[in-house]
Amino acid sequence: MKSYLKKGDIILCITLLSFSILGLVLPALSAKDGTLLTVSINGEPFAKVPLSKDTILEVKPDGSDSYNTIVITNGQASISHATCFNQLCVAQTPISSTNETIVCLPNKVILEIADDSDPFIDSISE
Amino acid sequence: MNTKKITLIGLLIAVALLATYLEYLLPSPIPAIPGIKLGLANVIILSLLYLFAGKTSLCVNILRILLASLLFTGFTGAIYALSGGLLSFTAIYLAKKSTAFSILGVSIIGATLHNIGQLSTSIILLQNTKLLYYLPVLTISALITGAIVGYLALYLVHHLQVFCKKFV
Repeated sequence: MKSYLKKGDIILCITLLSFSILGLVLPALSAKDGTLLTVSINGEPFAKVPLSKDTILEVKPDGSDSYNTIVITNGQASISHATCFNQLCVAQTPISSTNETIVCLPNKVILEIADDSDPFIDSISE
Repeated sequence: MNTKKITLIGLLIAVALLATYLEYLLPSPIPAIPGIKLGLANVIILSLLYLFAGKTSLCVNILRILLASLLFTGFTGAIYALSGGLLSFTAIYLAKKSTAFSILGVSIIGATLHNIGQLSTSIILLQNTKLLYYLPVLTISALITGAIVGYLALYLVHHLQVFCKKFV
């Protein structure tokens, strides 16, 4: 099998690698520890829960039987159970800084972290 | 379009479909990064682009995306897969035409744009730009899987070239 890498390939790989490394390093440097977990379903904000209290929140995205169980312990948020097929949201490591998210694409649930600089903090819903 | 070509393409669609199903069943190769897939079906798509005209490859791509997603993941899955697949196909077609890249580079471009397409769709559907933070990780994975797929396609094209010339 003759190897016929062309110049374009090398430029491509170097560009992509540099871009990716930058993209990993810069957010890691600018991440701030958050204080609030915001849960949104299907793009709409659903709940804001402080990270300081240990909480278990069950979220039912639509009328059907699907749900995600959100757990806050030790100031970090994660999903412990979900009804989606691929369970990718459950496999994600817990999040606590403003750059991180946990997403359940099938159920359209997104967990994000906000910190004190966010202007709108109102109700905490269950 | 003769019978031999129709048969070969039919077989390849079936193989691409099986490859997609296999990946869907297998757990993620890197547990730390859920959702990473090898994209083995793209070996077929890419090889077809080098063996026949672009139309053939595009048809096979659309067909196997529709079949696989409607069979296995449903309508939303179809939207994600189509957005990734069509964007990546356009990029592959243009990259091949530019002759600046070897089949490996073309494959990497395809993998990267496939991820960008799917990521963009999820950002639009979920109205959340923080998802962009996934892009660096996805790009690195596209580099690796693109290289693997490209290398496999190189083999496939090399071995099928003689066979296909007989009835193109």
